[in-house]
Amino acid sequence: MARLLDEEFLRKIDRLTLVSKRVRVGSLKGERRSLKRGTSVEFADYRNYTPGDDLRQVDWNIYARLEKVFLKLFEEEEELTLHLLLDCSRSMDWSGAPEVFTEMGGATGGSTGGPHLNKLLYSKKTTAALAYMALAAMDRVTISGLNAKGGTNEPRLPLTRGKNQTLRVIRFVEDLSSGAGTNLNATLRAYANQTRHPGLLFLISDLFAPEGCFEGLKALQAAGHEITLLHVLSPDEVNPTLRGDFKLVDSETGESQDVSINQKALDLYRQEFQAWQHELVEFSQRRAINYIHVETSTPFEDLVLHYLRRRGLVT
Amino acid sequence: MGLLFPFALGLLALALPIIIFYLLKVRREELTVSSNFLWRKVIEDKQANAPWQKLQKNWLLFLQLLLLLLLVLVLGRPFYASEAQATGNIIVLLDGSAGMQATDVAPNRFTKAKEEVKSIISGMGGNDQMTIVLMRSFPEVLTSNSTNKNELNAALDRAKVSNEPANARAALILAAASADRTPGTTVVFASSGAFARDEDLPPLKARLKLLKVGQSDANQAITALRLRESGGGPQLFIGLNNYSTTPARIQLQVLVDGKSFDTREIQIGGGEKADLTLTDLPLTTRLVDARLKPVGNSQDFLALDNEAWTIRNAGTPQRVLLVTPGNTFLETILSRLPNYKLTKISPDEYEPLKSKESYNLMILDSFMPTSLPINSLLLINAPNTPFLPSSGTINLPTFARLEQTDPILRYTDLSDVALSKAQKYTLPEWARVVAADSSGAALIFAGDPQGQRVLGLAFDLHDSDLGVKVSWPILLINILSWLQPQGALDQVTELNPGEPISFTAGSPTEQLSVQPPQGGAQTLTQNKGIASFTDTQFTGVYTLTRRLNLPATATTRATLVTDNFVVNLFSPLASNIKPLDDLGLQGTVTQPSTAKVNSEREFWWPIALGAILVLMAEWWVFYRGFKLPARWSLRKAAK
Repeated sequence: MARLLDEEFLRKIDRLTLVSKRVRVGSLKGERRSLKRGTSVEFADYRNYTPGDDLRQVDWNIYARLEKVFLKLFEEEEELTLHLLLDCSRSMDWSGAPEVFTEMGGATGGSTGGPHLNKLLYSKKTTAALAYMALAAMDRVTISGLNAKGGTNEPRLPLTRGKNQTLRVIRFVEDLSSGAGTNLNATLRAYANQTRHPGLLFLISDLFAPEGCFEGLKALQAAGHEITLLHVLSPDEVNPTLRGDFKLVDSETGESQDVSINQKALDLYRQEFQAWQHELVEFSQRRAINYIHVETSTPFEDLVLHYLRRRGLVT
Repeated sequence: MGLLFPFALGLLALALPIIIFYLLKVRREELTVSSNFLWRKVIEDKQANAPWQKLQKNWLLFLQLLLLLLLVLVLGRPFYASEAQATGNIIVLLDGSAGMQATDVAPNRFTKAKEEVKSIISGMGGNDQMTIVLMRSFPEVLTSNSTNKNELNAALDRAKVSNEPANARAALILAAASADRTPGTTVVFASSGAFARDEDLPPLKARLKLLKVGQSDANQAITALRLRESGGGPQLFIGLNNYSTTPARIQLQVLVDGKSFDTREIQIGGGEKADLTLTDLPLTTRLVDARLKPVGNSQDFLALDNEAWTIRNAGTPQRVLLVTPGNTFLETILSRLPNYKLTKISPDEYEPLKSKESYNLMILDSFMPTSLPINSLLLINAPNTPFLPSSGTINLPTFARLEQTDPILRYTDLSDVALSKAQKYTLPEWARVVAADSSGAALIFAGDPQGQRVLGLAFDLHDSDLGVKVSWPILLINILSWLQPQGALDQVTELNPGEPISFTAGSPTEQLSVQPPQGGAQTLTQNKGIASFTDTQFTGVYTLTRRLNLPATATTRATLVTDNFVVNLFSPLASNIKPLDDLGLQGTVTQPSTAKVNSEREFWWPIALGAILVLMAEWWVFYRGFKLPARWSLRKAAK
């Protein structure tokens, strides 16, 4: 647990709960007040009796006074299912360009690692934190490592409930390792098809998918998920400062491209990035998807404790 | 137009490797990124497996090829053909003699000649070199084998015309030596031709180009000015010469000791002389100044020879006291020497004699007074005294050891002089031996105790045959000159400009100074009793001042004696200012001053400047990029 989340941080998020606009009907009674009238002790309203209603719900005291049959309605308490889809492709396992190739100079002395936090690690921490908040709120949690290493089927944590499962959940997240990237649309569609308990779904990814992700997101929405898109990027991907002639090797596919990076190329890259991100934001707004852009330069605690709260995803 | 080094064009082959460099792909650093997803859209260089790429439009390549082309052109040394007055190795003999001061061309011939030489310098090509020699009484090399035009012009600016006659022979020897070493030499003679032609001028193995300066021969000169004694007083002889081919009328003015003595107008025919003798000059005449100036329509373009000076009786007569019982050899010669006033007394008459210090020189023959005189002394066969102890006599001594380099023995040969006997002196410390016998006993000695000059002969002239030898009068004059340098001018009172003059100092402590006519006295430095003065450039009257530092025993510690000498330009060559067309030199191909030769003038420097600009543009494009202006791009797009 210590590698991803420390005890102090866990205490900070212990009382936080995830907010869902729609609470789903589950097989178990949850701790969330549902819009549906149910069988809890909380009185909600009255309605006229119609044939076929359960006679046990008739308010006989009202019938005695008014000689009219009314049914007494109670609030239904339902559970929340949290789906955490963590993109474990190799593009996520990246920490930014070595500083020796950037305008900032060789602060790291030309090591292969970048100056920023690894995107996958950052995402794992976020995933673990969200899962912990759900477990603490007695919600059901399932986690899938998309494109993670470990065979054709992605590692998946089955629906888990209860705070006592925290250690298991965190260890599962820790054990996820990056694997070769596949078609994100297909992966998401497959996940949507397998969903039996739609709920609040976080897709945590850099979305570096040439074929895009829109079809997959649509399928998830069709399956009933309330989607939050956590777009995790390194600052070097948002605003690169590389200079020179490079053979750029794609960490996922291994494909290389010769690029002469000068100011003109950098300007063009930034234009392309902004167009791409604008497309994502527009799609998300149109489909009522929460789009959250996160850079690994943002401290992880700020993301969870402040940023997500401001966006109304956590309360 | 062409290239002096066309083989440099072969270097254009370097364009091939430059283009190959651009065909080669850039060696790139491998860098792993998270994804090429976005980069793929900004890729400019297409991936290819071959090490070559298609040659693309590249401003850097264009600029580098242009730079190569310009550098190759510079190395090829481009030139264009033009006409020049002289090319190759050029030796300029610039006449700096007195005649070049003639003002028949403005401002004067010398300045005009310098302008002509400067025009040759400006026409010099990159391969041409020039040596400039200034001809005066001796040649002065102003700059040697220089290709730097600034240096040549600066050397010309430093050149000054002199009052001296030209010594063309020495300058031509220099030029001939240089021409022998460098074939194809052109000797440029910038002169009016005022130098001697009858002497054996060396032939030149070179093209000779005469820059004739001057256009007139109008000049009248004083060619002689002499004072001579006659029964009625001094007479003045004046020589005049009209060097012009046309008659001239001049006004002659004669000043005696600063006062006008005679003024008259004289008509002199073309190319003729006029001699004039003036008598009845004042008996006290000392300095005569003669001046001429043209009158009427006559012209005179050289002022330097229009005034002359002469001095009468240069130097005060020397008073000599001869104390002798009788010596024919001495008396005969001393009485005949000019400028010496001899007083002869016997030894008995010495002590009563008053004002002994007024004599410049004392000759004591077989006599020595009780108290030593302060004058310069010639001691002959001096008896034994504490001043000069004698230990007896030597029989039949011979002049075995002679200090022949001593000025006292100059031009003498005493080896055949026979002596019957001589004093055997114990010489004091101040004395040096000039001549001695085989045992080393001094026969002639000299010295200057406490600034007093003393010379001794250890024998009686009657005990030798020296008095009848040819060397005797020479030896006596040498002795007198050494003892009493009052005749320091050696009777030379007239010099040509630039001629050095030397003076004999009376003693090592004597101070000599010369005041030139333009002022500014110069103190002279003695070297073994001789002081030289060389700054006789200006014509006029020079004043020599001698400060005599007498010994401590003298009543007067220091006296001033002044003397004069004059510098006149009595040079027919300098005064005859007629410019000559033929220099009379042999072994040369003479070119007129207007003749031009083909010259190849290089113009590599503007190309080198262009190369620098292209290099700067290449730097700019490399670091800052290059974009065509928008309107050009639009036009191109429209096409």
